[in-house]
Amino acid sequence: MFNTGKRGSGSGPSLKPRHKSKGFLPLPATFNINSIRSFQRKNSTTIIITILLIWFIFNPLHLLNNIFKSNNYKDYPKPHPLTSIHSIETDSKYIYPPIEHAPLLKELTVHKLIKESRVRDSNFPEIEKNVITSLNSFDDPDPLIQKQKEDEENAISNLSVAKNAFKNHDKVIYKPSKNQNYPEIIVVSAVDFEKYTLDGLTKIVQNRVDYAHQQGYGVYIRWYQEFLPILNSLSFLQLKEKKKWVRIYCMRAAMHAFPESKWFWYLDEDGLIMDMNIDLDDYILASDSLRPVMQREQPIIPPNGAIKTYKNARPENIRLIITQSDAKVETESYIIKNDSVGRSIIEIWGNPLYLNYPSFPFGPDSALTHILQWHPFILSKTAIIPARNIASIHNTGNIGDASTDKLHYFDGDFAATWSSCESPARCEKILDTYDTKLKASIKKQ
Amino acid sequence: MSANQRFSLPYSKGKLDELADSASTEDYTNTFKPIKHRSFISRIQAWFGNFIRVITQFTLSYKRLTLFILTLIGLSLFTSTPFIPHFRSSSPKVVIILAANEGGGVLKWKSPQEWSVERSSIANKKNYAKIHGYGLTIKDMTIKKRYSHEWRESWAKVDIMKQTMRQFPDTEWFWWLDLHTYIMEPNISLEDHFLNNLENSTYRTLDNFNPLNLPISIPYTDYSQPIDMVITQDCGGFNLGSFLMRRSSWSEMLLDIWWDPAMYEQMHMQWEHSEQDALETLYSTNAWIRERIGFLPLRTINAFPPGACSDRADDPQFFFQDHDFVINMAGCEWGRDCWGEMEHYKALSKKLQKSWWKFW
Repeated sequence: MFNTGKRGSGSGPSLKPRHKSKGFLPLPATFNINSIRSFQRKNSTTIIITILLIWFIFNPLHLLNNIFKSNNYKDYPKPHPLTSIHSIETDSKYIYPPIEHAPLLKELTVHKLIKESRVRDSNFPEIEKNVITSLNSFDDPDPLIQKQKEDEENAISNLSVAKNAFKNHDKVIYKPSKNQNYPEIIVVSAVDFEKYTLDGLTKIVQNRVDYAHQQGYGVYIRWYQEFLPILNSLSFLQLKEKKKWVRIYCMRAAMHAFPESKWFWYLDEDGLIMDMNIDLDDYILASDSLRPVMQREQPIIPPNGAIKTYKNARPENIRLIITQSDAKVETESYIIKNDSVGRSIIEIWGNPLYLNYPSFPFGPDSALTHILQWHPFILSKTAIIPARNIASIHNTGNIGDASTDKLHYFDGDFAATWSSCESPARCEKILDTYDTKLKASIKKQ
Repeated sequence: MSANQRFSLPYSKGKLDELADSASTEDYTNTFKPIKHRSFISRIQAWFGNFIRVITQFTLSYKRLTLFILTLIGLSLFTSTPFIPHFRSSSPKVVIILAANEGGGVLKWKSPQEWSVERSSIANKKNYAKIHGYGLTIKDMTIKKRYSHEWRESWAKVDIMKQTMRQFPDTEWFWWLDLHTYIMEPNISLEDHFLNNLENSTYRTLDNFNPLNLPISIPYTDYSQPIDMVITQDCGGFNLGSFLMRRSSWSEMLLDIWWDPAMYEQMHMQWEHSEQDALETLYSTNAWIRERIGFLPLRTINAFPPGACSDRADDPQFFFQDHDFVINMAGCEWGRDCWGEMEHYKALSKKLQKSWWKFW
């Protein structure tokens, strides 16, 4: 007896299948085809309904439709630099003007580097306006013909070389052959060939390039004079506060030249990076680094302004990082994030209506103070950090205590600035002292 | 015992009757065919019957628990009691903001005609919102002494937009409509009309139509950004009688920056149409504003009646033609008959919407 015996009766009729639904005999040879056919016939309705449902939900043709649609997008002009609709691409991440041209540019004078004209507004014919335009506006529409023309000029005189380099520098944008090593952080500066000597300018630019090279960043440096078309007044470069506006316009140009970079640090010409080993990302920009240094409930106008930074601002949301002196917001060193909000903040800040507003005594500093006080959205994206983090102010004479002083430069600080220096000669002298200090510290290592 | 009995082989013995008896209580038959599939409906019925049985049993055995759960569900669905999750129907994709009661009762008494215009306009938007499942919010535009000086009195648009974005936190698009508008084709949804195909239905550069002679191209403008605001241009420049805005950090920023005291102080003599002119100024100087504004042809959401734009009366691109989506009786309060125009277009819309099989 096999298992039938164990079930008790042992007789034939009580034989039961173990599983209810399974046949207890091997399937007849004819079973397969017929039964499957009948199965198909009965379930065809179900199958059709399922297919229709899947079709209805996923709609594969929808994808096809999309492909056709996206092909029809209109062709809008690409972003273009300030003074020209053409760009010159470079694969070097260190973009700076040929500094050796400084004496030639000085010899040419600003008047030869731009075009001044007087125009009458059609609405107010009695008022004459001075308009400054870039020499780029006289370019040939075809960049190749323009290039030929410039090459011919350059062959004749060195002054033309300097002039054309000055004029074309606005068009330069970074375009690497491979996107792998795209710099995430760019150090931005504007330099003035009328303020520093060739020697001083070389030190300033070399300092930025050295630092960027060590950290794998990019560099973007422009002449102050290149922004005259947007300032639209020659006198602005002579006025200390008005000249500051170039800091904002230079930053916007840098964002255009390095569209994929994440952060931009503007450090004015009156400043040197004193510690080459600090990675800006670890030092300030990463959320965990920014959290402890960003000042919460800090009055925009110290020491007791009514509007303060937000108590619960999150470092991830910060787009603009600035510093303060003991009286106001400062802009000789600031950091901005390169996303749509960051770019918008820079453009709002550089609005021509702010530029020409007579009630802003400190130029862009006053404009930023105004923006932060009136526009909570931008305030919520802004962090104020102690000045010694990115802009230690030059210490004149009375040396305080390094542990309590939040403003002034002490040895070992990241960057030194001296924007309050009285005359170009004095500025140059301060630059020299910091430069020797820096060289000594590098030698020590 | 014979060998046959020990190894029971009923089929070889012809004992099929016995076999049938023993199997009668089971789910199989003796027809040598696989069990037939039960029909789909009967399976559903069985499953449903089971479900009902389980529920009934549960209810009967745990009466208090059932009562508690029912109370919770009731509170969650029909009240807004705190500390209980509330399941709301998903918020509308588009919210229509209707600016009503402009100047309401502050400057002068409202005439019966004005009341009538307001009623027609509101009913029209209510009906439209109901057909397509959009949200509708009617905002009171009464002039209030809300600000410390007269500067901001007529700038309520910005504040109302912000307020509505807070009120509908999950809605994507906000469609502003002035009071003197009428949706002529209520069966067209905004999605089908242009929202689903925004890039192709709008134009972003002003080289073809530029009534204000704004600069065509400004530096750094990147048109690859998405469109966050949809407006129209009439014969005199931007028209904010009917425009759309998408919720984004861009729109939050624009609403924040739109009114700025330093700009206003310098420009308020030239900015006759407050927000509209301020937007034009921002548009002509700031690339970030330009990047995300798309223009629709006026007739798409903002067609004019013959009285408006009278100095360009020969240009058909501004004026209402049959089956245009929305009419905006812009400026009818300045010397035209708002009520007359409203009644006319109301009747016209009714006529245009009449189906061919209806004779009355």
